Amino acid sequence: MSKSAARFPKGTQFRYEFLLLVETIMIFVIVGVFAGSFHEEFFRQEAPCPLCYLQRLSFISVAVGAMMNLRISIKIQHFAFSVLSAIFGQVVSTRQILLHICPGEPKFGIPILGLNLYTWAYIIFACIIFAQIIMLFIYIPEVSHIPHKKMRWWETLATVLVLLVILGNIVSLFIECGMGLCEDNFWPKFFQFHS
Amino acid sequence: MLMMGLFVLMLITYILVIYNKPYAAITVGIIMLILSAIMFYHHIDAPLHIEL
Repeated sequence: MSKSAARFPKGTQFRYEFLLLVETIMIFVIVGVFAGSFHEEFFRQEAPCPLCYLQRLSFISVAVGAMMNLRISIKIQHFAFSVLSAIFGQVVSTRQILLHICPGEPKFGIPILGLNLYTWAYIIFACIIFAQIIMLFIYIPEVSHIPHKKMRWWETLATVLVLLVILGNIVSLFIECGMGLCEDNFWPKFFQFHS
Repeated sequence: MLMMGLFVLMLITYILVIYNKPYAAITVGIIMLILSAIMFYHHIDAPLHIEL
């Protein structure tokens, strides 16, 4: 029996490789989303709001869930973590869409391809949930017993990019808010009321 | 500060994944999501508080 066949139980190799590939692509897509949002923030001076930060946090959380599959092993709990994060992100972006949905209401930020960033976030979260569901159809429990030996270079690159995205957000948050409260319509009023 | 705390928790989750601690990572990640949800709840609740 070959080394590869010994490692993979019958009928699992394709599923295993496919799931890892899709998770890696998903991380790269999320990094692309962040590249766009950092471009908006630093080059077009569109400071993110607290809701935008919550959506960013959900995107990173989805990426970390995918990274668990790459780094540790493919487990259903990791998919669950990603789906939960994506659902939370979708709820937050829905809230932001509803805040600006009325005609005549000022929109937040400059639209890209006719849609605002929070609408794009909603669409991307929906796509992520759909992709995770497809992966759960492909997933079989035997896949989770395969030990993940060494990460390939593109998987390592995806992992490093996620770290850069997290650090980039921390720096961006520090620039915008420092160690205090973020300036927004809501937070000062909220704390003023409760003080 | 609160938002910074959430991102730091995210960073801790990332480090736990890198050091191969899946249960700890998921636990910290879920705590972070719960705290985010509380923050979000305060956001949607804010106009009500102000009206009161």
